[in-house]
Amino acid sequence: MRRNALIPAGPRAWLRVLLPVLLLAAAFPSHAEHDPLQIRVTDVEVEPFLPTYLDRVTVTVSGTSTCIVSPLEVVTSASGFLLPVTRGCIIDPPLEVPFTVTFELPHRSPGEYELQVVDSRQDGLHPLFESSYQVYRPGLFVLETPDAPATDDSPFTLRITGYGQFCPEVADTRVEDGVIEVLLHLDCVITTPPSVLFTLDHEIGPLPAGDYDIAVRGDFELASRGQLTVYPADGCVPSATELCLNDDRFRLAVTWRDFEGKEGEGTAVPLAGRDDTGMFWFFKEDNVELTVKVLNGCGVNGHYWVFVSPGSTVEWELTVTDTLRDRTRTYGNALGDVPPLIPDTAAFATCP
Amino acid sequence: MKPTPPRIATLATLAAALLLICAWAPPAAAEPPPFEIFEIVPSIPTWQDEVKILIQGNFFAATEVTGTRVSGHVVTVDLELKANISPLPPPGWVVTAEAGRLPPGSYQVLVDTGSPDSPFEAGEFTVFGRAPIAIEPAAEPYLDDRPVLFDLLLFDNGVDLDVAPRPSLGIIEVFLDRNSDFVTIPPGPGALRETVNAGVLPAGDYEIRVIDVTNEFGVFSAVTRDITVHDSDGCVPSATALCLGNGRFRVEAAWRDFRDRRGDGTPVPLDGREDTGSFWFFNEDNLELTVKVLDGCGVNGHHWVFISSGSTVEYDVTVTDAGAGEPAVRRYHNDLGQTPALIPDTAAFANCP
Repeated sequence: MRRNALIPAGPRAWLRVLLPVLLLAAAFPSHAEHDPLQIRVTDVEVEPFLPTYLDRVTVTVSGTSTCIVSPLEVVTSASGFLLPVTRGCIIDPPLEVPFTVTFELPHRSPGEYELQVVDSRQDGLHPLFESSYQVYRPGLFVLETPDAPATDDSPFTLRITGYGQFCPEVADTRVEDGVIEVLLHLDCVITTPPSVLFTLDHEIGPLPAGDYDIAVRGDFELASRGQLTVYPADGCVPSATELCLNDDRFRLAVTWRDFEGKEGEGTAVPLAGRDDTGMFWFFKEDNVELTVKVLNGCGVNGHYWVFVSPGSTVEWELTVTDTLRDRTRTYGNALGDVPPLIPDTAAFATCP
Repeated sequence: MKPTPPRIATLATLAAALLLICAWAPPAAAEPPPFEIFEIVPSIPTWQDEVKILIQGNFFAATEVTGTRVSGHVVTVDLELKANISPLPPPGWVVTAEAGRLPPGSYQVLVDTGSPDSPFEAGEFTVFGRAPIAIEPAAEPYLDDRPVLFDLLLFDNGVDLDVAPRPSLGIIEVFLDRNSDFVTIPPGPGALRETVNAGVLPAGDYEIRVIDVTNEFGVFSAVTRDITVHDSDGCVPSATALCLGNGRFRVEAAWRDFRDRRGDGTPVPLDGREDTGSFWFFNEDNLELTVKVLDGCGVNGHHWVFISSGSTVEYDVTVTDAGAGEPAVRRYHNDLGQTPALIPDTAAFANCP
């Protein structure tokens, strides 16, 4: 058999061929395989959920790196966005640390766009992360969640209202990873009717307790979004007079009696985005009388803490219930007393 | 010709003038209609809104809305007249009818009392389409000594804008006409951002109304947004200043913790609550102070300050009355480690009203 002249014969011949290659490789290491300065992207989050062309869209890239990672200017193309990150290494020897960088994307018309995170040192051919996201059209239908809190023991109704030349019907419903997705079929197969105002009531559930994003998508890249909390029926379910704090585990309610002998229940004021703190008003919506915090002090002294900041000298009694362990604590003030802060750091020994 | 004595001439002139005055009758005051639209809520309704019609009655009566019927572009409000109430409410009473969501278009409002003369015309209103336009206010608070600028974001090739601020009504109207020859659906390749200058406006609350008069598909569309223009001499909200009492009182808090770290409290205005606000020190979720400034002028001639604390760290709260001539200041303090009591200062500011 005729030997290929390019194939060396014997170990010394192999060494003569491979040595220059190894030396070259050592001199010019591949970033992907040999560079000790690495960027690992672990999460890319696009906000808001289900963006429309009127939304400011931000992309948050998280991961770990041996160097400082910072965002460069977004590179846009017709098909999407390139998010280059650069790095200035200040750590020697390299130490892997977490990073988070945020980009704001330009407004784009409806459609699907590619999203690539690239190491700006490299040529962009090997993105650190690749994904896509959809931009929707706003405004032609709206989503309403039920007025009463949804609970995990009964179904609830989502109401979708729209206006346009539609023949609306719910094509599919999926619940996955904390997202309730409702697909609407809007197109009219045979004839296009005049514009109509339509309402679809769509029953869903029961669903396990938890927080859900709701995505309603329709034809023509239309979408509407919402959020819903499903409460455990045997836990704290918020109402006009009951406040749920600390992951809805603790139920708070208050009664009051004023200087004229009038009595009533405090009206709960949940604070959006604040899970540990809430308020109550007694006489007038603008005039908050109690601020209450339930804090997780398990890591400090093995207790949940209750802090009550009173704003009123009338008589009141506050009841706090740990619905998970069925324990109750009450706090109060006598009529006319100027109440102090109640910093009860031993309120519930029910950790975790 | 014998000259007319001056006195007679004067009298004749006066007589003629009197005759003219007697002959001229002022136009009869128009009889007010028995019912008229007092207000439409929201003021610029779109099909996404639940529309409320407030109807004013211009005669002595007690009434109750018993139903609302919508047929085409006519909304009929059924009113029951109550005869057994004494005394009857005087003219000017207002009742509210719920019309629900309505398709875009113009609507005539009729009132049906069941009498032989019914129904009565009460007026008209318009329901708009929902304009796919975002109104983006400036990031900094608006002040009454500089122009009010805001951005409109939409997708089109170009628009004509006509800005009409009406400060006395608390309205900034922007009429928008798409001057492109065509509107692409889905919209075109990029966003169009137009900056609107509404000029310098007096302090107060305003509703920005953007009305797209391009008349696509036979309807106008609209979008609204509320803004506040602050008195530059009063309280202007910031990262450290909470404004209460219609922007008259400025509240600030500074703290020092057990490790001797110091900082300013971050204000947390409470939506829809003009008299109450909070501060956090260490963690956004953990409110440390709740402050109320109440108008007690009718009780003891003072504005009251109530501070309820959720913290045992050291803090100083400064409340400034910036709206009554010479600014007046009250300060409140808590020592490090002290469990603070409610501070019910009912003599905080004597400068009523």
